[in-house]
Amino acid sequence: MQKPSDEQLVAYVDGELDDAAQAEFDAALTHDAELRARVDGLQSSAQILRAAFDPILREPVPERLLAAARGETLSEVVDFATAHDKRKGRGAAGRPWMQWAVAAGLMGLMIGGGAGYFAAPTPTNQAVANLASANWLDNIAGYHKLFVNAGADDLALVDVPANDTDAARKAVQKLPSDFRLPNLQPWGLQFQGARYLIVEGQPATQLFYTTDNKTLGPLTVVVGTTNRPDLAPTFDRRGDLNVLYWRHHGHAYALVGAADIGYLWNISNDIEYQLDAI
Amino acid sequence: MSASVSDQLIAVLPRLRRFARGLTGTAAEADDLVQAACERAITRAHQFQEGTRFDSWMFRICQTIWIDQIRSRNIRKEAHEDEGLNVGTDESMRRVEARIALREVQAALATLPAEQRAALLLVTVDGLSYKEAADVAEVPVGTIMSRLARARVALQAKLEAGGHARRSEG
Repeated sequence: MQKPSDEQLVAYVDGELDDAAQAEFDAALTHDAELRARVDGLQSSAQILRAAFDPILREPVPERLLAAARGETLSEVVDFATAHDKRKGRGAAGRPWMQWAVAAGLMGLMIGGGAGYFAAPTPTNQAVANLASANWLDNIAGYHKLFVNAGADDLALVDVPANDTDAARKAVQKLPSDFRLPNLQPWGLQFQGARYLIVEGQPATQLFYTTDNKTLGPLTVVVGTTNRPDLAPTFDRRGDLNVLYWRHHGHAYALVGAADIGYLWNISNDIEYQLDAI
Repeated sequence: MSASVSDQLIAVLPRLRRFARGLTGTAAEADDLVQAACERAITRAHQFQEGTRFDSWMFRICQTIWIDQIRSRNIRKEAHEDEGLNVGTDESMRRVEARIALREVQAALATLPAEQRAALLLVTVDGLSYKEAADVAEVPVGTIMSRLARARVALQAKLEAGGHARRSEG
């Protein structure tokens, strides 16, 4: 046979050739030492590759991935499709959560396909609520990292993107009616989108902001409801992230970022003022 | 999301983690990628076509997110898997060797173009057929053959240059 191409050779090693071509290779290998060496080399490197990665299959799977697979990290999105069906035919009066109002000047920003979230029933999965209550700081820190790793261009991570499309503009009408988007432009922070999650067992919105200021870096702001008593701004850390969180009159707030805590205190003061959350 | 989808997701998690580790080069990024893939799958569960392979669908989601990310960020990461290399601890020598082998192979993988790396992981590591890998990558079988051949030849050369193959045989 003629000297085979790399494609043919690899396909032979992988058993992907048809029977006739496979037999032709088998015959050639009996008298072609160079061909045999090439095949041996490819088989050997494939074995090394498999052997290197196979131990990963026996590693314990992190709990956060199991939770994600169960839909417990994005509990509302789990039921998104179902909620979409349920909300058909329901008016604004049927929305059970907060009566949010998007400030008129921000209407162009707050658009996207997340409207169904607000029309959806309050989560009933107790396991979800318990998990969220126990781990909400971990969760929002985790989502902050996902957002930072993905970059602002990956709209898969946001339920309400900040870009402007006609289709999304229609959806803005269904956003929570008293929602006010913190304007952090004075800090050089640009709003990029929002994501829905659970904070202390209640629905919440995580807002993503980016900036060119490397000292400050990207930030996320979480605003949600809570049944727990008021709490003064409290500092915590999650890995390399600073987290500042507080509760005020039935709302829970958190600010997450790698920025110096001094920045976060000042920004949190601004948010508290804007959202009447002092 | 139906329980069956959740069950299928959990069942495929180890393979997704292995695939993602090969794509990203680090455990932390791989798990972030798998989490993002799970969440995307959940939000788009209604798009999964019954009767098709669930694992292929998840591989496709995983690959799409990853390629979108590296394209948008224009990054080509070098693989560094330094965690856990504590020779002299209770960790068995076998596990240490396995991690060293993984690091060397990942370093070789990291030099390959993204699409070639994905094809290699799908076919050579996970054992998908060319047709199945082509479905995941949403390209013709011939493209997978071409990517795979270039990747395999390059990988072999890099491993031999690094002495891995010779050590393994010795």
